[in-house]
Amino acid sequence: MSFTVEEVEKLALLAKIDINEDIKLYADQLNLLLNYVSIIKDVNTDNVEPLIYILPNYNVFRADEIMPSIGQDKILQNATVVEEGYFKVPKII
Amino acid sequence: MYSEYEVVIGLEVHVELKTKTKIFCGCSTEFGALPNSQVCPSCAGFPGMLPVLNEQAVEYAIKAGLALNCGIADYCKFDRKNYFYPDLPTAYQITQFDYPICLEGHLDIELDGKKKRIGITRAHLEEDAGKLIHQGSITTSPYSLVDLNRAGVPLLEIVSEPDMRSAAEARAYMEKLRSVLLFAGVSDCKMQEGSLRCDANISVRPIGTTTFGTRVEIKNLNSFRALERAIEYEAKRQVDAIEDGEEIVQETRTWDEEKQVTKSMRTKEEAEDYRYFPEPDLPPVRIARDLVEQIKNGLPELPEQAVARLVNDYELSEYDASVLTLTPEYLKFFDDSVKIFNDAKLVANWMMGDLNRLLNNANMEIGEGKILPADFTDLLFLIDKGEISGKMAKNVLEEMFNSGKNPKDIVKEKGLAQISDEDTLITIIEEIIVKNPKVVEDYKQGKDKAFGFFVGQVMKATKGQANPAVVNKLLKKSLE
Amino acid sequence: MSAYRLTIKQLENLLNKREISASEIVDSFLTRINQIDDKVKAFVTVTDEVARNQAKQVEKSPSPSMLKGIPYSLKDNICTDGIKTTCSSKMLENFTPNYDATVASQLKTAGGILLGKLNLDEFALGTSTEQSAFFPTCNPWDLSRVPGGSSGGAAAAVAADETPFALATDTGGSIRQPASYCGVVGLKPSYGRVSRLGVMAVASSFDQVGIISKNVEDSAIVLGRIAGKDYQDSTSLDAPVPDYTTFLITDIKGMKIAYPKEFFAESFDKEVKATVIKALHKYEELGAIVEEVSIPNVEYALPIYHVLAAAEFSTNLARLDGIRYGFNDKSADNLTDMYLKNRGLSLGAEVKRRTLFGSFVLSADNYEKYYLQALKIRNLIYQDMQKVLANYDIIISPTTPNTAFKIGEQAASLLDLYNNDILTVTASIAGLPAMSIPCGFVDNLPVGMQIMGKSLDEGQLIKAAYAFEQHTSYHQEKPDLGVN
Ligand SMILES: [Mg+2]
Ligand SMILES: [Zn+2]
Repeated sequence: MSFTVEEVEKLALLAKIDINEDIKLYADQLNLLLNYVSIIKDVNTDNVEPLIYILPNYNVFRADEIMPSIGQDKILQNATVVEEGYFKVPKII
Repeated sequence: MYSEYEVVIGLEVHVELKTKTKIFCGCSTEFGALPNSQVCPSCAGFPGMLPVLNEQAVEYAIKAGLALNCGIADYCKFDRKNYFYPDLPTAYQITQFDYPICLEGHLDIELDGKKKRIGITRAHLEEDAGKLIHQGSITTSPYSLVDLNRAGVPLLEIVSEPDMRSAAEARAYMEKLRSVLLFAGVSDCKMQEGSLRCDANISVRPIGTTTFGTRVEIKNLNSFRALERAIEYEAKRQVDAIEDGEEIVQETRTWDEEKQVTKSMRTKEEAEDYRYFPEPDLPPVRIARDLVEQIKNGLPELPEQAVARLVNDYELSEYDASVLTLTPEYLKFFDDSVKIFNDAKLVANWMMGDLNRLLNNANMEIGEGKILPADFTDLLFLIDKGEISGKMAKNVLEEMFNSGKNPKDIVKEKGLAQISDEDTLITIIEEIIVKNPKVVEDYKQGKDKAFGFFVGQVMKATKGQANPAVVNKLLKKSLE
Repeated sequence: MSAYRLTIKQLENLLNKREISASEIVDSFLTRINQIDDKVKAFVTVTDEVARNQAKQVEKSPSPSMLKGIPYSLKDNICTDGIKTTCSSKMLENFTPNYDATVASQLKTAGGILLGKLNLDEFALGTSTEQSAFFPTCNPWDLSRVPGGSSGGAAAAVAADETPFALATDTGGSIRQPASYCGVVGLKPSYGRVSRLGVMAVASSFDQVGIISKNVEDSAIVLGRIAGKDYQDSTSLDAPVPDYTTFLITDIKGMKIAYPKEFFAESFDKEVKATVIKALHKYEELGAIVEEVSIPNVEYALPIYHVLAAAEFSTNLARLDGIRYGFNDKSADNLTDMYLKNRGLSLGAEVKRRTLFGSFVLSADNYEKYYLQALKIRNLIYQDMQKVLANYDIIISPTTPNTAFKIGEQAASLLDLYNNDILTVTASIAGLPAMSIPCGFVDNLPVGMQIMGKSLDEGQLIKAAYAFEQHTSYHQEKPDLGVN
């Protein structure tokens, strides 16, 4: 399989990254990469469990205790568009 | 033509668990705070911030699962569900994909005296998103504002089997689910505050077929009424479409509360590819059977047990008992009242009748009202002793509901006490008899209406406070 | 000798004997940075004011303690309260966190003095630091060459004596490979050994914070300070932290060392391989047992790394939307356009490429074929490594197949660039600790030797590395930067 320009466009929209100007270049590079990793498809992994967690630990919990929040001012401090204590975004639809 | 079709409904219910803090950070979950004031770098998705699982959320999920007759998983894990939206700060929701915490369960509903079992497919833990504020509606607003206070509040998503066949069944399921979760003590279940939300999967098919029709998901059902109306609307829309020879498209629709219609949001083709994969920042959870046992033993009385108790202890009908167990506060009010005033049937009647009406009109829960069981039972004592009439009692109850005053005080203030004193009544009766010799004559000739006239005159003279039973007895005697 | 030439241990001795003050040390380094960083370009931000103030603070409290008054620098993907943390990206060019990464606060609490933030490949994606959105860093041994990456700024700064040590991150080799290219010591601890909190994630199941230093002893000192359980990082392990300086012993008689034949492949630079084999002979001389082993599935290591790391990376970076922080173009008139623009205009090509690739391998049609299959092979490699480590104390290989390449040389070849990680990813895949130490030179460019070990057994690495270092002098060689 290989990446077509249409597929790359679809992926770019899914990942919300504008790459319009050099979409063909991305397609070529992704094909190169895909081709490179494709040898993994030949490995027989019939009875192999996926290694999801590299560590043996489980049940790592915190107690249900309130920690002071850092405050409205600080959480908004790095935002460039705010209004009345809210983050502001352009129209959704 | 609709009678040839049946509607098939499955519900996905999101319920906020009532932990003090969010599921993956220590921010408060308190409703109604200033925007973005209960937010930290972690729940706001800042670089490098990591989730740590709230143990209480896990325990509430187990508790809810047990109350819903679910199996509890030995092992569960978290996954990322990836999509971009301004209320989702990390651009992925941490949820459970293939290993949910609660496995198969069920809930029994009752409708028109018939019981039905609704299957629960699974229930899983996840984080809530923040809130978007639009000017007007989402489609017309020139911009949106983002409040992340709700982002990270723990949710349990409860997925039902497609077992419901009418809007009424869906509503009954939601009501039962709500009452079970309230009794289990895991959530406030306030639909108006969004702590209980529901999406419905709806399809229709000709009666007699066993395969499912194409299903449509309806979002934004924020009240029981919206749920019923949306199902009715959508079922009709789908049947009409099929009858017109159209095909139903698999899609997500939203309920437009203003126009009372469902509207298409996106089709299956436009559906997001969520790219689920295991959340690498959270180790998995193993749930010891001891813990499950311990939580099971600690479960409070659930609605079904309460119904059985009310039927058994007070000989109430199943219907009455199930109404009284809609919420734990409602049942507690009943239990507390019966402890003081032991005629359970009268307590039930007044609660389910007039008190309920007042609460509904005011859109209030019993716990939010001003009436306490002690005052409520004082009213029942007044009725029982004949000190006020049933009709008067209705007014007194309303006054109690509005002011929170004790009924005895209300009766005293307004001079509402019933006149049962025979001497007082005889004086009045005799005066009336003397003034109306012609009617006395009519009475003696057997005209029933005449007796009614005298009762009416006594009531008029006493401004309705005369005890009707005593008046009847005395009138008969005096007219002989 | 100028203070900037000294190791942590040497500086500490002078401080304890009150032969130098913290302020004098800081001035020495700031002067050094001032003199040569125009050439090396290791720093994104120099926190001179913060450093001078911290030095004065330290001088006020009399009791000496480990790392107190010792300067350090941080890779610029480690968040620092009140100090810009850019990840060398236009996206975060103006981002100032109001929190410290756990490792940053640990050093702060210890009395360490922050000199500045170090350049990296944008969001730590890359092997040359050429992918920095700001400027490439140069290799102090040859300014026309790359320092490696993604922690190129950190390795170059340590090699050029601009900082005694630096904390950096390693996902597939980002500490070890630049350490190797720059002739310094790089240590990637076991997965779970050091907190990741406050460190911009690349691939969460691979990332570890580690140390770049001038010698092994300094690594041992710093590791002791940053290792251990952090209750805000669910993947940090609750295991006792030994005193790593107790492993600074030169007697390694009987130590069992494996060298996998696959790590000395035909295609790798002959002289680099010869240098490492010479080092293995040195170990034999010192009484170690050195044997060849095989790690059959290692040929799949880099391919699965690219699948898994890209997948995790693509979602870890999805939070960068410009709404709460980061680059905001502000010209978009709808939401989708805002996302596309904010991300499209501020993220570099490599970031975009891996994000697209990661999104691809996670999408519904490809998940099983690529992502799940890669997780299964991860298990095979993990088991291969466990098998070897059941019989050996450590595993040794070259750190990189080549010495540092010329700036721009590999830019055109994506796969060459990715190949630089080929020897380092295996330890990352298996969550094992790994270290790179200088073991010789080829054409006046440093060669690094990689030492891998059992999970949580950093002590063995330190012991093996220290013994080699004490019997050789490669770590004492200094690049000539024309300024003394
Ligand atoms: Mg969900
Ligand atoms: Zn928070």
